[in-house]
Amino acid sequence: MSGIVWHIFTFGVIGIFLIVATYRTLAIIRLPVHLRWELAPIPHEKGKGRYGGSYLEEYEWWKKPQPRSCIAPLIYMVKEIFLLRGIWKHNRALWPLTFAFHMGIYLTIGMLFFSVISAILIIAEVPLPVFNVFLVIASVLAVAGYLLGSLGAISLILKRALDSNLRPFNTITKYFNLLFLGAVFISGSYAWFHSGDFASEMSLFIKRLITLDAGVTLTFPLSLHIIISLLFILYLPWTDMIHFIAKYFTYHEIRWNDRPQDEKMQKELRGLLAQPVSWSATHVKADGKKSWVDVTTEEMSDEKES
Amino acid sequence: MKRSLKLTDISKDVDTQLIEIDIDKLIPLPPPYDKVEELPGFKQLTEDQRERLVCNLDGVVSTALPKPKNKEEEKKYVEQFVSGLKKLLSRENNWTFLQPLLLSIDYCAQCQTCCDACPIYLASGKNDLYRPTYRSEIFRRLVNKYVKPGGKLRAKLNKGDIELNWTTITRLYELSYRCNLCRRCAQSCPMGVDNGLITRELRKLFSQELGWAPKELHEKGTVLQLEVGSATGLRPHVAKDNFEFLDEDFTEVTGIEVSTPWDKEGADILLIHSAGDIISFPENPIAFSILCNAAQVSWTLSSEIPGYDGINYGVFYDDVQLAKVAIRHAQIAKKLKVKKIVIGECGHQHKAFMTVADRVLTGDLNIPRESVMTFLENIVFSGKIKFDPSKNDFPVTLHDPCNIVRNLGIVEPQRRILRYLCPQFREMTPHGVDNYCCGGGGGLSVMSDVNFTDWKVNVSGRIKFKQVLEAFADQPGPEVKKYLCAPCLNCKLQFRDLFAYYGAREKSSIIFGGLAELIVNAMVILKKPFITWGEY
Amino acid sequence: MAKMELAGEMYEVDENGFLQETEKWNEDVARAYAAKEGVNEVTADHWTVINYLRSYYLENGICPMIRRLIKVTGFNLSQLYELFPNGPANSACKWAGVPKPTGCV
Repeated sequence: MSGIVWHIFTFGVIGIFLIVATYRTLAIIRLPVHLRWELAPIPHEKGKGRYGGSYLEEYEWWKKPQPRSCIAPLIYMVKEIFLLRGIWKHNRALWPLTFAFHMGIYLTIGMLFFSVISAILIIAEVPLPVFNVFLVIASVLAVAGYLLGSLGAISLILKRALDSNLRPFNTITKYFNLLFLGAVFISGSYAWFHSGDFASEMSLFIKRLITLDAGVTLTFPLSLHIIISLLFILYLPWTDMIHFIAKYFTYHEIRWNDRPQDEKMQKELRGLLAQPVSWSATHVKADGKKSWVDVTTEEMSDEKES
Repeated sequence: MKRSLKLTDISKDVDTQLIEIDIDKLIPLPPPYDKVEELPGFKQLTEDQRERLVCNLDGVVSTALPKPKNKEEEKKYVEQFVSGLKKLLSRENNWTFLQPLLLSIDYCAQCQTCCDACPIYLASGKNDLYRPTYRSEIFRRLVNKYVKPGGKLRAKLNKGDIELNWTTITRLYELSYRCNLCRRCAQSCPMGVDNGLITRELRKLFSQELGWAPKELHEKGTVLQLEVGSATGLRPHVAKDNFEFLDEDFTEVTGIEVSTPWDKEGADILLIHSAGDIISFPENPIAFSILCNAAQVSWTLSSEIPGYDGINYGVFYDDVQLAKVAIRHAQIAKKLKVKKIVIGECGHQHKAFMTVADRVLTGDLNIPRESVMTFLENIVFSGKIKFDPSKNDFPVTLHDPCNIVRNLGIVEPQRRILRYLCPQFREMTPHGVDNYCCGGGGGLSVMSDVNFTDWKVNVSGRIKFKQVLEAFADQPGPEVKKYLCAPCLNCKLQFRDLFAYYGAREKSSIIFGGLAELIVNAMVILKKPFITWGEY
Repeated sequence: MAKMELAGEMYEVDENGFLQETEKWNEDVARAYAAKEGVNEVTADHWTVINYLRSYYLENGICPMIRRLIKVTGFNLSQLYELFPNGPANSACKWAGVPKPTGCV
């Protein structure tokens, strides 16, 4: 492939990924405030998160300040993201498979990070010894990530196909997603083992991307791996694999959202309560024009007729 | 290996039951309840019922939906189901739960982790129909097909397309009442998806769009409550008259002056009981009268419709009804100019009034609301009343109502009371926010049409019953009287059904009751025990 | 709506067998319900309870609480269960032709 095409392809994919991911994130953020639907245990409850207590355990809680812990939710999320805490606790049999899979992703991202650092250091013409350490780390992360990821993907596909608990729920998309990400890891493993110095090649490629150097030359295994990976990144933000973004909201905005009303929320609520209701059941007595306030505070004398 | 139920089975064979409940597959109970032959058996549907009612799910009927008159009627309801799906995903019609619903629809990984947390699924012997994911995934595929753009094409390409017809919607309707809304599934989901929420949204769709809701929750539930004052049919003057009778009766029985104030404007506290307690478990509301007066609390009840009945079944099935009842309660408190509202021993009342409907009560309707647990804890430890814990020297265990504990995080206050006043208090396993539902949650405890009670005592309440027996395993026989503290009226109703079915009072001498009765029983000033162990 | 034959006539009942149209009740209906539960002779004691339940319901729109029933009729709980096999709520109320209580009762 000619040099400049790599730049267009790579930056194009990253750009589209960022645009779509941002769009979907904003779509979640822009949803209206909802009724409270919290669920214990909530980690930010200072001193009570351990047994699942909340500020509602305090006598006349509205007269007291509600101390929140910043660090406890953070620790919870770190354990959840990196150690897959939820699966460990509630579905132990699945844990090794999905942990391998997710670790593959994290280590691969780690490899990219260190490759970018090395690339920047080459550009900045930093002397050699420092440069080498990052490449060694990147290389180790790469092989570990690709192998674990491959193992994880293959085992998850097998589990989906063979476990009678899971099989009735499978769709083509499920298998496709696993196969696609599996292909990223397997092509990466192939590229790593085929290459003499995977991390150097990767780092060089990144350097040439950043400096818009059209002289990009890649071996076939590495270019195959990069193409598959970029295509996957292009596909990713359109799927439910962006649960890594959605989870922030399911936890912080719903499960841990125990905030009493404040000025800002009241304003938004008043707006929402003024919206028209058009549910058809007779007891709602909505006509598409009446608002939530109308429908819920009207005289109830003729309830029985409906 | 048993045949797996497929998702697509939901639309097939309109008059045939989808599954059969096999009593032998249910998880075993400890002796002496382990012999199936010695139990009353499972009430079967009659020929007449099978003729008149839709009976196509599991041999159990809770909603008593009459069969349709003709194909036009079926078509009309199926179309309404689709219009309802669209409204559920619209801002104007469902801002109340739009964000939680959309996230639960879009991010389920179908890993089935939630199923092993569900007491109904486990107790049934892992019957596929009762998986939290079964109904949710069907709902999800229907939403994706009929509401999301390009849905129909993607459904065709993706395999597992669900056909939408009369059979599908009637089965989904009945199936949505096989869930306690206990949210154990939500707790165990690593993604944060909530199958209890999806079940409630399904129920809401049926109620707010098709007008389908179990009569115990709607017509004889929220509608009756808003019209005459209580879902029990208790009218204001009858409520006051009943309390007058109880005040007199208990004054005689206890030897202390028992009196209950009504409609006192300017009192500090408006206490709202669940009116069913007045009829079925009057020791509980009277215990509050005794405690409030002994602690010199400034309090009142309200005789305005529906101020003496704190229930709010809307939290189980309908946002409009939820809001109507919550707003009425708050308006009554506002008129009485009280400083705070105290919610009695009723679980869903806590969840409805303190959290779910909180954001509907804007402006001056946002009156502070307190839980019975913190209220009682304050009284017990205030030093105003003298207690003698040795009066409660019998085995006591605590049932955690899901709506107070798992949903609101109110865990310790009731335990501090029990540890102080009950020398033989022991926990169930698991307990606290990890507790199991009594089996009557989600409105199920007040639904007893056709043969539903048999399902509740055999399936949804099974794990709870096992827990109760295991908590008292050190003294299981009938010679030792044991107290199950269940601070929630709906839970008590479920326990009443469970204990009656299994004969728990006769075989194991276990009775159930609220928290306030235990506290009063320990009062030094009472010469005779307040708890009478079911004798009158 | 389900139907049940009682004392030779068809009546509308709910799925648990409780009479839906309470104004159609008469003493034969009570005897028919009793017979279904294996009680072949409805005695004066039975009528005391049944009549009290019915009049209270007609006046107040709801069944009386057990405590009240016990105090007014003079029978304690065990005696009530001896008279009415399934107890005051499920037997006596049914024989008295009042609808099954709804709500949290």
